[in-house]
Amino acid sequence: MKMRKYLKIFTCGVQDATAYRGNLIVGVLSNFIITAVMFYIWQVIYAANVTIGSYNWEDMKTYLFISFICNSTLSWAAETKISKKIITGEITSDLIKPMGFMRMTFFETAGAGVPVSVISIIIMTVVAVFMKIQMPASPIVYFVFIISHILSFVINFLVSFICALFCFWTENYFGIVKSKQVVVNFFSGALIPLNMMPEMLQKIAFALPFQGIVFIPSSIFMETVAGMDAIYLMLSQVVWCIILYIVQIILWHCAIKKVVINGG
Amino acid sequence: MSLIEVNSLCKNYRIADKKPGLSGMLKHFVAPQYHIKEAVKDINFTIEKGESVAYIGANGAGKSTTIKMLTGILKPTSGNICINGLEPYKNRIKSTKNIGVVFGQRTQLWWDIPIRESFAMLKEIYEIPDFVYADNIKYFGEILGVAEFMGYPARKLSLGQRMRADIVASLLHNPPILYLDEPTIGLDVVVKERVCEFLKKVNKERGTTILLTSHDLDDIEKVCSRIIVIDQGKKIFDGDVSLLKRTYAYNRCIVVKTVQNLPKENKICSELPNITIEKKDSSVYEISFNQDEYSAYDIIQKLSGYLQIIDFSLQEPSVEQVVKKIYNGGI
Repeated sequence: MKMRKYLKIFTCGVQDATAYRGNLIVGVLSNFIITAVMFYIWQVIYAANVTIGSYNWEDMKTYLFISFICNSTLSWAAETKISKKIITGEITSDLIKPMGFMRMTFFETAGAGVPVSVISIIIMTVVAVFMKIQMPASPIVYFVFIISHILSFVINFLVSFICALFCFWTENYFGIVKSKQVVVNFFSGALIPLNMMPEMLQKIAFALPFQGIVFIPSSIFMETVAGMDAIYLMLSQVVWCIILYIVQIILWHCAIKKVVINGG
Repeated sequence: MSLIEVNSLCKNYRIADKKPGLSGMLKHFVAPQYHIKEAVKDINFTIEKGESVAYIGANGAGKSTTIKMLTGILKPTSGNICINGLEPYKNRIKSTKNIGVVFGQRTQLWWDIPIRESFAMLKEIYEIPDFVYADNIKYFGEILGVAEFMGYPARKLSLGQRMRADIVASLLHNPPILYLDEPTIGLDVVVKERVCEFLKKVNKERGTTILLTSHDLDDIEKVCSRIIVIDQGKKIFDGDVSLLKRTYAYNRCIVVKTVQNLPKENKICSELPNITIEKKDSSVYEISFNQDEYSAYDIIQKLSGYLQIIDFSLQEPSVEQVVKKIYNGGI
């Protein structure tokens, strides 16, 4: 019975995200264009046939491919939706339901991520075939990657949710969502693989939860980590999920005390 | 124990004091100053099961704030609320099962997916058994005529359709209490009538306790038997609708434009006792009268015997008038 609730919210999330077909496709395409631009920049950098960090050009192609997929689950629309609910006071209709706001939002956002992910995976599979991108051979890698990818989504969601909660204080969302995106893009490895960064930055990045969003699942997919190391990294993702979950509970209790419903 | 108990409820908001202009903005940015606005001041009331109560007041009187505290969304600054044995703010998730809420200016339906899906989601969230759900959809759907647009997303609905769908959504889980915050705002007369009749029916047939805010006295008379009037956060009247009607309200008002001054004012007054004539402008008069004593036709007919009327308009009693009267009446 309990599970059906969540499943229904999830499917409503899917339906909601596909309501505007054009919007959905343009959203995916704009992500794709960014990746394409990065592809050509890296191509120029690798033209001298060098190895940067531990990555050669073939590795880099795979990295771009997989980081695109890791990054596609949480769209701009889904992220700003949470903040907007708080800013406009639309949150009232969620607060009068017998269910936690975070849970409802989680399943809704997860549902909204599905169509985007599916389209992204289809596009990327075509690209992978044409560009002759190296793919892992073992099915176990795919399986482990999927688990890590789900954890990546949970971390990404919780970070966004926590940021959105700050809207209770700031009463505006654009600055928050934008700065969150910049920080996450940089420290998750979506822009540059973390092990290409200077040591100082690497240390910071590895102490933060964001590496679990792109870098860890990508590393698992590229088999740069394997065996116990991979399990260890996934455990760190789980730990971050728990920490962020607790942070979210604390913040929510502070936020709900000072809730002001805007707009009548 | 009563179904709803509200004891010395207060709510303060902190409002930013911004001085005008750029310098004022800078000042506020550096050292923000605030003042406290008391939206709700020491309100007490109890509501028994099966009652239908109107909660009225002018704009900004604190109606919505009270409703939001009753639903558990807002935390009261002080005082306490007890609904069906639960304190809504502390047990928000648990107490939501006891209530249905309609906010006239918002919707709880999903904007982009069919109404049917929104309803189905509510079924799962509230864990409504299949037969209750099917029964309610049929029952409410028929009376409110929702069936015809079940397949449309909320964004495609007209305001009247959306309101009807919202009311159905709030009642699907058979809540013992239904709160409605301005449910008839912006609706045309026909839909308004339909909604009011429906609410009355639900109150009678299902024993649902209704608390409704509005500033349309007409709705209130149709749906509610008891009325609570608040002004500037304070309760100024609590009693039967008929008592309020007898004592204070329901003076209609005709504004008449004439070509000449109104002659023999006293004579008219003696022929039509209990009306008051107020001169608004050189040739504009405001005549208020009790609608149980006279019809608008009586007044106009009488007046036209004395003077030439160019134009007139009829004003229905408003909440603002009632509030003014209550103050003048010294309650």
